[in-house]
Parts: sequence; C-alpha cells; structure tokens
Amino acid sequence: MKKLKSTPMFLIFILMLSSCVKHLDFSQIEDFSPQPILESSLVYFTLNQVDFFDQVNSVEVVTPIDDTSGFTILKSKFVKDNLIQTELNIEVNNQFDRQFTVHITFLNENDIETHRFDPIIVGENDPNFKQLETVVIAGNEQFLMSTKVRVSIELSPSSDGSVLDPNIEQKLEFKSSGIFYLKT
Amino acid sequence: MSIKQILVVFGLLLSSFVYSQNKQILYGFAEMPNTLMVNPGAETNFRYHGGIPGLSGFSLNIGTSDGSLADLFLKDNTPFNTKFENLSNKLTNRSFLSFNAQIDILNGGYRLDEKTYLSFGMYQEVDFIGYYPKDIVELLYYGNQPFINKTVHFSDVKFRGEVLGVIHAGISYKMNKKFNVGGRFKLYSGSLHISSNNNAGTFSTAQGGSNVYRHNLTNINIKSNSSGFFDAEENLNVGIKDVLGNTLLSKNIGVGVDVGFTYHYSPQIEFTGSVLDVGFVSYSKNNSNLSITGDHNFDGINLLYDSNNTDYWSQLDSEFKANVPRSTNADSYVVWRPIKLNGAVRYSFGRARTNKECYDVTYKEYYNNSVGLQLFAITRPLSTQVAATAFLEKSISENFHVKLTYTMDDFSKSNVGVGVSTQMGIFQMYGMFGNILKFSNLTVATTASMQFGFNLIFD
Repeated sequence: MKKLKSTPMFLIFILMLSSCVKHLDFSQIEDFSPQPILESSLVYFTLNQVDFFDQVNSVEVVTPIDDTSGFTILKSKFVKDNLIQTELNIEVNNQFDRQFTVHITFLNENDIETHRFDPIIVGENDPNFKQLETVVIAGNEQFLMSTKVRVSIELSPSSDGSVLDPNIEQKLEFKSSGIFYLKT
Repeated sequence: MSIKQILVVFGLLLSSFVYSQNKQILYGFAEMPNTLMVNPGAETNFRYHGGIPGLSGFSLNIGTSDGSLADLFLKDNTPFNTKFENLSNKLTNRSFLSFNAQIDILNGGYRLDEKTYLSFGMYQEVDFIGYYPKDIVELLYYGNQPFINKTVHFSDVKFRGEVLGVIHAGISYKMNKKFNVGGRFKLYSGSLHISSNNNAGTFSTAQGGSNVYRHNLTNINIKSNSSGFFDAEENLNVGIKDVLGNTLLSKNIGVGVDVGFTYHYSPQIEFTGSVLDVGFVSYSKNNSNLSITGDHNFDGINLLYDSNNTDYWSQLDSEFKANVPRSTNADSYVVWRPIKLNGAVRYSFGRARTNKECYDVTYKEYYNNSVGLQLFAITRPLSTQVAATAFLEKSISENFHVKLTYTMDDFSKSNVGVGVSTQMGIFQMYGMFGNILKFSNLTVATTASMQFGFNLIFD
C-alpha cells in the first residue's frame, strides 16, 4: 500500500525534472549573486553650549566628551559573511563659532578598539558639514567584530581667548547613516 | 534560510512549471469514469469500473502567468543576475504561480440500478498558489537603497499551499430522461498546510526625522498559519514518509462535497455544470501560527552624553518589541478549500446512433461530433481565476474519441489541446496534451499539460 501511495507523487516529480531541459543549464544558478545595498540611520545627537560649559567652575569643558552605544548589525552571521564595504555618512550642523573634532571609534564586546576613523574636523559656523568615511572589509576584518561605537566630541579653544556664554543658545547637530554593501 | 536561498526559491518557482486545476480536456469527455471527478452529475453507461491503482487518473497542467524556464536558464552568455532582474521587471505583484496535482490512488464504481451509479476512491492532492511579492523580493535583492522615500507593501505577501489525501464516495442519479444529477462526499486528511494572506502594513525609509533617515513600519499586520512543518520545538521537520502517511486519516480532518448535473435541453443540446470542493479542513497537528502587528519608527541611536551609561541598544530593542509584538501559537485553525466551478454547453451533430448501452435509460442519441464551450473558475486569494475553452469532440468509432480544445486563461491566450480516449475490451485508456503548439520547445512555453489514465470498464 505504501508503495502504491508513493509511486504517483514520485512520477510527478520525475516528469517535472525530466521535461525539456536540453536548451537549459540549471547550473547557472550557482552564479546567482544578489548584491543588496542597505542604508540605515546610525547615531545622532544634539548638543548645546551648556554641554560644553562647566557651570560650577564657569569654565569651558576642554576635554572631549563621549558617549558609547552598542549595536547588533555586525553580530548577524549573514552580514559578517557577506559584507564587503561600509560607508559612514556624517552630516553636522555646527552653529558654534568654534571648531569641533569628532573621534569615532568602534569597539568589540570587551571594549577593545576594532576600528577608528581619522579625526573629523568640523569648522566653525558650518551648517552643512558632510563627510563620508569608508571601511573596506578586506584588510579590516577586525571591523566585523565591532559591537559598539564611541563618539567623542572635542571643542576647540577660541582663537581670541573668549569663552562660551552659557546663556547664548548654540547647537551642534550631528547625524549619521551607514551604507552597507553586501555580496552574497 | 539565507537571502540567496529565498530569492532562488522565488525565482525557480516563478520560472518553472506550475500546475493549474483546470482539466478542460477531461471535462465531459467521452463519458469516461474519470469525468465523474470533475462533474459528479456526469452520465455514465457502464456496469462498473475499476481504476488501475496509481494510474487511473493522472493530470499535469503546466504554466506560468508571466515568464518561462528559458527566462532564467536558457544557455546563453547573459549573466544570471541580469536574467533574474529582467524576469523580476516583467513580473508584477499580481503575477502568480499555482500548482495543483491530483492523482488517483484508488478509483472504482458500481452501478446500483438503471438510474444510479456509485463511485468511490482516494486521491492525493498537492495545491499551491503564491503571488509574486515584488516589493519584498526586490528589497531583498537590491537592498533598501533604491527604495529610499518609497513604500514596501507587506500586503504583497500572499501564498497558500497544502498536501492532503481525499477519500470520496459519489452518486450519479438519473432523475429523468433529461436530467442527471450527482454528488460526492469527501473526507479530507490534511498532511501539510501553510498560508499567509490578508497581510497589511508598509516599510519605508524616508529622508528626514531626527537623523538622516527615518525607518517606518506602519500598520503592520502579518499573519501566517502552518501545519505539519514544525515540531514541538519549532524546528522545521518535514519527512516525505510522514507527508504521504498523513494523507490517509491524519488528525487534520475535513469534509466537503461536489455537486453537478447534466441536462439535455434537446437531443442535440446539453448543459452541464459542477461545483467541486465545497468544504474545509481543520488543522490541529504540529501547528505553528505567527502574528506580527504594530507600528514603529526608527531614527537611529540618540546619544544623550549624560552620565547615566544608558544601554541605548537594549532600550531600542525593547521599544521595538513592545511596538511590534511577535507572537506564535499552536492553535487549531480551519481552512476552506479552493472551490472550483465548471460549466459547459455542448451541441452534438453528425451521424447518430441510439442506446449505446442497456444501462442508458435516456435512450439518447449519440452523435459522432460535438462542439461547445466550457467555463472554469477557481477561488483564489487575490481574485477568482477564470478560464474559457471552446472544444470540438469527434468519435472516430464507438471506442475511439478525440477532443480538441482552445483555452484562454491567465497562463495563455493560445492554448490548443488534444485528447484521445480508446477502449479495447475492458481496457480503457486516455491521454491528453495541452498547448501542443509549444510542445516542441516547452522551455519557452508559459503553459503545457498532460493527462493520462488507465481503467478497466465492464459494460
């Protein structure tokens, strides 16, 4: 009985597979290679004059201020196996009459550095600062171990010795997005 | 399953053979026993019949709504990715593949009296329909970069597939000289089922918001049901032995009916019609149902530069899970079978003979030629699919019949088919081929079909 039941389905599949294949080459499927490009927002923040002013001592904060966040995209085995290049797109609106230096560092689970971009200098009063940083994975495989990103901001001193007035509103808007190039 | 595997499956399915449920050549052909399966009210004029197990009824309809095997696999120097992109450009979210195979395991019949013919048997059925989720496939293939400021619709995800066994018993009853009615009771035994339909919601990546982009999941309502695919630990576990075994009295039981009629308006004009598979299956074994609902916007990680050591990613993850909850359960569910409708009008002419067999109480005239029109419809998730067929049937002798068909449907507007039926003693056989104009090169055909069967008929 079991044999009788399985025979018809078997016939169907044999007919499907054996039909009209003489001009076809199914092995071409090995060449199938999607190359999706994913764009995603990354970190963003807005800092103002108060963030760079020590109100207790009435002095500017001259040491870099930093913050760190985890992320999981590089924990994905699919991304790890197929990522060939990443671009970090940075857009800054700097309303300060000061220059800022941005340090972006990637860390692994144990807070050990996996990749660092060269310091990014944002000029004073620049509302449309844009920069694109690229990581080519070949040769930078350590980058794939990244699970955290640290963004440090350093206020440059004024050229004329003036200090920030905490009562005058000034903003530093930072936006970023990542472009992930995959090849499967 | 990787993105590559998913895309390969879509590509293969959409470019390979598919099966439709329309049996336009078989319907009403030469009063064969198998015609009772597409119209239980069909007339018969033999004492009893027995199908040869596994071979009494085998049908194979092949087609694609858009595209052919050659689009992807023709031997040429075009890169495979280019072929896939060209095929995807040609397809729309209304492009579909439907796959149906029915095969008789057992089939028999017995004449109870002059007016009543009983038939019974068992068959296995594989049924699938899936629409091309163009937005989703292209999002996976190209990534979201080409979709910036565009919307991806989850409502494009529509598919349904099942494997089941059917035990059936039917009756064809002659009411009077003009009217023959029939019905068939079916007991379904579901083996595999998977479906996702009536999904809603969109995904978009738009410029703006607090960051460079804002990613939006809006009005998400995605649901799927499956039975027989996953074990208690939610691991995929499908064995061919279990799949076939469960087509005979599994825990997934359902019932349904077929009804049909034959009406002789005059000796030369006949109307027939049938409604098949009005019924349902209740799935309860190894069920896995999924539901995802909600709305969510994502601008990225908002660094606060405070001294709280905030775990930003955990916060975002919790927020996402709260806004777009995903739940699974193993609840039972009921699935209605796709209902099929057949209708036909036939005009017979030419040389007539009467009283073919002593069981034929109509004493109707048998003509050696007939022409007619057939309509077929089947309920499907997006819309009812319809096919229209014109046919010419000719009896070369009492035991050799030929039927030519021309069918227009979603697969093709130029499908010419031919069928032959012959009987030698008690041994009856038939063979049918659809889309014969393209049979020499099926690789570029969008549809083709083949049916055959062997029966023992005792007059």
